[in-house]
Amino acid sequence: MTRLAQRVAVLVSASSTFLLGFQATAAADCPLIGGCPDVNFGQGEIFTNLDGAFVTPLVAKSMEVPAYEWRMRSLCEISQGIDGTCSPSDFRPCDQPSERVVRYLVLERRALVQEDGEVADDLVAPPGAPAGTPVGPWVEEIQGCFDITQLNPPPSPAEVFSYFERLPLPELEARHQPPGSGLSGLPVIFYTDEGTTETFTVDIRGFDVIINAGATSFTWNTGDPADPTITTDHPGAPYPDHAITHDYTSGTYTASLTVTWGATFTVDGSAPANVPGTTTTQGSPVTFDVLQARPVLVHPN
Amino acid sequence: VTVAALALVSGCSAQEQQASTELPSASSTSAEPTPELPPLGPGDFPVPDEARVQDEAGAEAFLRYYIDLINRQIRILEGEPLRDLAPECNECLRIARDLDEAAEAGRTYRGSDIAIDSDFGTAEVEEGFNLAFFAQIASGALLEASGSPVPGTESEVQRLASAAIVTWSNERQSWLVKALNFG
Repeated sequence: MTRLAQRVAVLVSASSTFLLGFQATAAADCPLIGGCPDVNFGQGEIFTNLDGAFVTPLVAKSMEVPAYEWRMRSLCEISQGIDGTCSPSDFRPCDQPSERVVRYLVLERRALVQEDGEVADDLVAPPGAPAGTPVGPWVEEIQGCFDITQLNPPPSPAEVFSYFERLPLPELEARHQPPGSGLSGLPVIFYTDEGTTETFTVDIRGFDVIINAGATSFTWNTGDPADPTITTDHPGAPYPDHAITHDYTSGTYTASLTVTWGATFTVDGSAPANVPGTTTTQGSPVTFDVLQARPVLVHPN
Repeated sequence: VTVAALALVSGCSAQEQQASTELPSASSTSAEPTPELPPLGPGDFPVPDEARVQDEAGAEAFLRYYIDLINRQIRILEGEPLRDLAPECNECLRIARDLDEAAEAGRTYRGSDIAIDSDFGTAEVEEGFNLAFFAQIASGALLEASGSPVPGTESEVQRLASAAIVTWSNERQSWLVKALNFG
């Protein structure tokens, strides 16, 4: 089998459409990964290792008017066009080497009228079509995992999530009332009075990404084996506006607060999008005693 | 081209084509329609017999019909007939979905008809025929129930290099659209 490395020049890059021209270069090994071609995109050019039937149609007659124009779309983008939704099967994993952007994409092409009026694949141009006119619908060439680091695509939601997971989100502490020791029969009030939203600006490959994080749920770990957790969607409040309480029997308890955080993000001022996932923080534990109060008769004097 | 920008009007003038009521002559060749063609397309806008012939002219006639069907469905906001005749065509499915969503939202299209504005560049391909053409999209917009344009959907007249692949279905005894692009 002949294996050639194709040198691919990006002529136009707009609206997610990449106009490419191809030139054959030296023969090279072609490490196909389970149907996913190893395609490396460079600044202003793309190096792609393809083999077999792909080689011939990828080679343009002229760099002035490439044989095809090309675009890359995600499976989700294609599905959304059809029925407005994405299915789980649209999200296919790719190996993610450090500092690389590798995504599962569909490479599509369509033939263009050449200077001499000819069209690749023996297609026929409509009368009067100038050179460069597309002459066929977009058709899938191949799909797989593409390394598009050098094209510097905006951060994907999944990429933003990987940053979100590592942000120094506040570790909210569980406050309790009454302060110090509690009394059995007197509910202990839980709340937190620290901020439940936080904004972070991070640089992801040169893009200004603003992540607006917000607490979405609060899990109060009571330390009481009889009723170990209370989950709320609010941070509670101190007396008299309290909303989260727990009744303890006498003893020593260690309580803490686990907060689940969600977020939205913008890229270079784009419309906000949801970060696809949540992360949690664990506040410092607090230990307190709950005492048994006994009535004692005392002499009034 | 989004359907919003597709506020379509056909130079094909959306004249309804009726199925032939004449049986083929005794000298009919195998390229002519069979007498027992199963019904296809909306009852009051059926696929014409000449578009159900398995040759180049039949493929071109079918695409002309399908463009007229798009124009018709834009007026009545019903996507299913477009899906039925192009079950594998992503762009056709998208247009059909846009029409259904517009209907649900109480929206309508103004103008936007599609006209085939050139002869076809027709080539036989593995799946059937590749038909390249220029499409003229009339100016138009997607309108709210109030009649005001949905922001971002107003478009001027456009002449777009377009193409379709049609493929023959033995089961349906007709061409079907497999792929379609405007612009």
